[in-house]
Amino acid sequence: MPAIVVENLVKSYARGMGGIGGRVMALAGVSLSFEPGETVGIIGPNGAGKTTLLGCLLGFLRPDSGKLSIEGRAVDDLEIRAATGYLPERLVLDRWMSGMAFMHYHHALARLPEHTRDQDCRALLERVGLDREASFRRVGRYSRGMLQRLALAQALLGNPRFLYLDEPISGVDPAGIVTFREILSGLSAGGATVIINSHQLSEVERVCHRVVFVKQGKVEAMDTTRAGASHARVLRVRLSTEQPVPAPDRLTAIAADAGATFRGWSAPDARFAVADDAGATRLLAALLAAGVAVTEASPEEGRLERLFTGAPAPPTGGLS
Amino acid sequence: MNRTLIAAFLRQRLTSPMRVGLILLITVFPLGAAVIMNSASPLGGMAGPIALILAAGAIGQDVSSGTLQLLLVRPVSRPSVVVHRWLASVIGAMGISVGTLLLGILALLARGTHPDFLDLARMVLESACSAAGSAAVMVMLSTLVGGLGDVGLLAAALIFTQLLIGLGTVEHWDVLLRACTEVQGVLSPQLSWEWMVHRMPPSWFAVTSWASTVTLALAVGIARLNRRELSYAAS
Repeated sequence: MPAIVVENLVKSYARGMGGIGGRVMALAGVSLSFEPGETVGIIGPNGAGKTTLLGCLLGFLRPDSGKLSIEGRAVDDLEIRAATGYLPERLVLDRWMSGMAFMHYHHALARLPEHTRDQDCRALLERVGLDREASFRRVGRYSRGMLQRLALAQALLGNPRFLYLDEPISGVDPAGIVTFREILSGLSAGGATVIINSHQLSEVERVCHRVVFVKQGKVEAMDTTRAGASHARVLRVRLSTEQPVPAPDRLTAIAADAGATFRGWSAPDARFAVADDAGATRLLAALLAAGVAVTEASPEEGRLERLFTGAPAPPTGGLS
Repeated sequence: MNRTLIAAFLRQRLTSPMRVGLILLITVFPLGAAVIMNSASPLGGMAGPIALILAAGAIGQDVSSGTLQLLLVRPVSRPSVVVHRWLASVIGAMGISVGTLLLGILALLARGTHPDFLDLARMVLESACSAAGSAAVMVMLSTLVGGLGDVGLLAAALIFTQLLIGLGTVEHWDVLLRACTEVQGVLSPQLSWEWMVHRMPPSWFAVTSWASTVTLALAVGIARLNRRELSYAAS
């Protein structure tokens, strides 16, 4: 049974003072469902309706029509809210509090047991990488990355079953991104439904089980990130510069034997078109077998990125 | 009662230098006047203005900044936010005004003046009613406009009605005079407890009028916040 159900959601905004400029359609009949333990990325260009969708799911916005339910209840049901965590994109936290006081405040608001308050807050701050000194500093003096970590820590209070993350790794350093991945992996294993709204496509592809592409208020495509295994792509293969680079004719021949196509050379990278994951594996095996010193291989462009560059969606509804 | 909401709101208000400065101005001068005049009467009118200062921007500032969204993700209902912010403003205003009153009484006692107990009780009760009324109106206005727009709205309404009162007085337009006086009464609801000192029966009309104004202001505030969309995507 899905944890969150969105049925034919329509939401529009009044344009101009008192709506004299008509209405702007933000969501034009979105239908989605989210399973327990699933991490779903919502991606799309600016103004696509991603934030509006999140706003409706959190009960901040009232849909014009359509149905929203979380575990069969209304989105603003207080029992649902007690199991919800939210990391906003705009990190306007209570600047006058210390990080620890901010955590205590949200712990109390979340109706979590008072006797574990200090322990829970300390553990979460530690988990997101905020040390003791930082936790007693005023939030107003936090850097962008620290604010992001603090906001993530408050979102995780009480092990939420529904977690909404709006641009969760914006401004976070690489160590923070690794921590974020570990936390998400733990949440997913614990059965939490996580919805991520982000423009960091590579990260979405990495941490999400499923991706929903929203454009002009509609779901343009929806697919599992694992489905990428069956998609054609251009592979950028970096060759060692310490050894002589094979001639283009030789690379063309090796690629053809492996069922791939040599697309060109731009030192130190060679570009090959492969049909799918198996094709990429065959190509790399063939290159290594031919004595070519491969140091690195990566897709030239993620399939999520291709959505933004305007590649048409296939008729099956896959992402690329 | 959600003590967390009340405590956090009061702590936030009392860490704002501007608000603290204004509250100090409101309390220090009456205290000085009470000592100079050797009377507790100047200490009576503080609670209403203090409640206004504490309640200004109670909802609007958090809506504009986005902190209200984070609060409403928690199991806290919108009506509860309105009621607790009103309650916190009243508690804060009463705490400060009663504290100042006690200081004034101590100063008067030290000078050998013994204030009348009934008169002091009247002052406290009038302060409580004034604080509750002013805070309710301010919280309601705060749900209508963002930031500190409620202060501007209240000031504009008071100035406008005062101008109309002036016009009504000059032109002898009794209906306008009466209407504007009523509007001003709604904007700063107060209840006199003079009857208690004079051992007379209370004016039930005044009591009902004050109570209905406070209730209406809170009801409008709750209805407005319930309908308000809370997302920067909406603006």
